[in-house]
Amino acid sequence: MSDHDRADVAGLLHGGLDNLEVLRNREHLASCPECRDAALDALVGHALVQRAAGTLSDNAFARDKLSAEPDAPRRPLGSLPGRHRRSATVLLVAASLVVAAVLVGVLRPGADGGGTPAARAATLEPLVGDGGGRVSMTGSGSATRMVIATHDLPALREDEFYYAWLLEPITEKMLPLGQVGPSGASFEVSDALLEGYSAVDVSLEADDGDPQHSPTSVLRGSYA
Amino acid sequence: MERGRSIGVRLARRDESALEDAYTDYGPSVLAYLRRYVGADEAEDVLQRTFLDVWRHAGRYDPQERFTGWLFTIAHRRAVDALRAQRHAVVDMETVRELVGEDGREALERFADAADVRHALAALPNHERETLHLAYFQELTQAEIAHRLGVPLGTVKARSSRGLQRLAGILRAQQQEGAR
Repeated sequence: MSDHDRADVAGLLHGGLDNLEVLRNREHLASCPECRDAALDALVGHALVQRAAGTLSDNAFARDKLSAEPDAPRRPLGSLPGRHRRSATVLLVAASLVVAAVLVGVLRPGADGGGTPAARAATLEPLVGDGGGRVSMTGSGSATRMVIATHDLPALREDEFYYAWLLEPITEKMLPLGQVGPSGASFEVSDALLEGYSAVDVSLEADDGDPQHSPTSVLRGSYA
Repeated sequence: MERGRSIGVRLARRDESALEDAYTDYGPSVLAYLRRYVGADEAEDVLQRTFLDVWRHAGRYDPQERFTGWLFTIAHRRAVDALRAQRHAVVDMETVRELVGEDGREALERFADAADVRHALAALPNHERETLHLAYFQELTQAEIAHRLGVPLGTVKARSSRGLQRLAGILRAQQQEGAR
C-alpha cells in the first residue's frame, strides 16, 4: 500500500481481504489520521445500516429498493356489503389518496379534538328493507350517551339479533357497541373513543359465535 | 432543520403537504413495523389509521422529540388496537407480548431507528445508495455488487465507504440538531 492509498475500509467492513491485507490496512490506519477518521465514520455508518437491515430483514421492504412500491394487499375486500377497499396502489401514489381521505374524513366539526360533542342526532338510513332509525347523542362529562331507536326492521329468526357499531367509513375501523333490542338501545361512549368515528352502523348478526361484523348492515347514519 | 422534525413542525401548522411527505418518507418503514405485529392482511389498514391519527394529533408533536419516535408511538398504539380487535381463532401471543410489553418499546425504537436510517439512505447519491442497498439489504458481497453493476471492485468499495461516511454524517447531524 503506497502512501497515497486509502485504507480499504469497505474491505475491512465487508470481508474479502486476506489476513495480510487486513493487517496492512490496520497499520495504515494507525499512521494516517485522515483515513482513520474516514474509517471511523464508515464504521458508524456500517453499524447504523446493519442494524436497520436486520430490523427490516423479515419483511418485503428489506428486499425492495429504497423507493420501491409496497407489496399489493393480499387479503380479500372488506366485510361490509357493497364496500370495497382500495385496490393495490403504489405507496407513493397512495400518499395523495391518504392525504385526501384523511383531510376529508378528519376536517369536520368536532373531529380535530375540539372538545365534547354537543347534543345532536342523526338519521339512520336503511341499507336493507324499509326500516329506519335515529341516534341521539348527549354529552355528559367526558362521555356521550347514545340512544338508538329503530323501526320496521326485518323480522329476526330465533338465532339472529341486531347489533350497533361505531364506524369510521374512511378507514373502515369499527367499534362494537352492543345489541339493539326491539325497543332500541343506549350506550355510553367516551368522547375520546367517539372522536375516532363518524357513523353508527346497525348490523344483522347471527348467534354463531363469530364476534366480527357480519356482511349485512341494515342501518347506517353519520353523526359527525 | 432535519427532515423529520421539519415534517412534524409543518404538520403542527396543519400543512397538508406535510402529511403527504410523512406518508411518502416514512410510510414504508411504518408498514414494515405494522406487518411484523398485525400481519400483512391488516397492516395497510392500520397504516391508514396511523396516519389519520398523525393528522388528528399533529398539534401534539413536540419538535424536541424525534419525529420517527412520535410517529412509531402512534403506529404502536394502532397496532395494539388492531390486535385487540382481532377475532381470529389463534392469536400469536408471543407477538402480542412483544408488542405490548417491555420489548414493545424496544421494538418501536428499533423500527424508528431503521426509519431514520432508511431516510438517510434515501438522501445519498444514487450510486452510493444502490451500493449500500445491495450490500446490506440484498446481502451481496462487494465482488457480487461489482458484477451486478458492471463496475470495478474498487469503485464499489469507494462508493460503499463514501456512502457509509455520508450516512453517518447525516445521522450525526440529526442527532446534534435534536440535542440543541
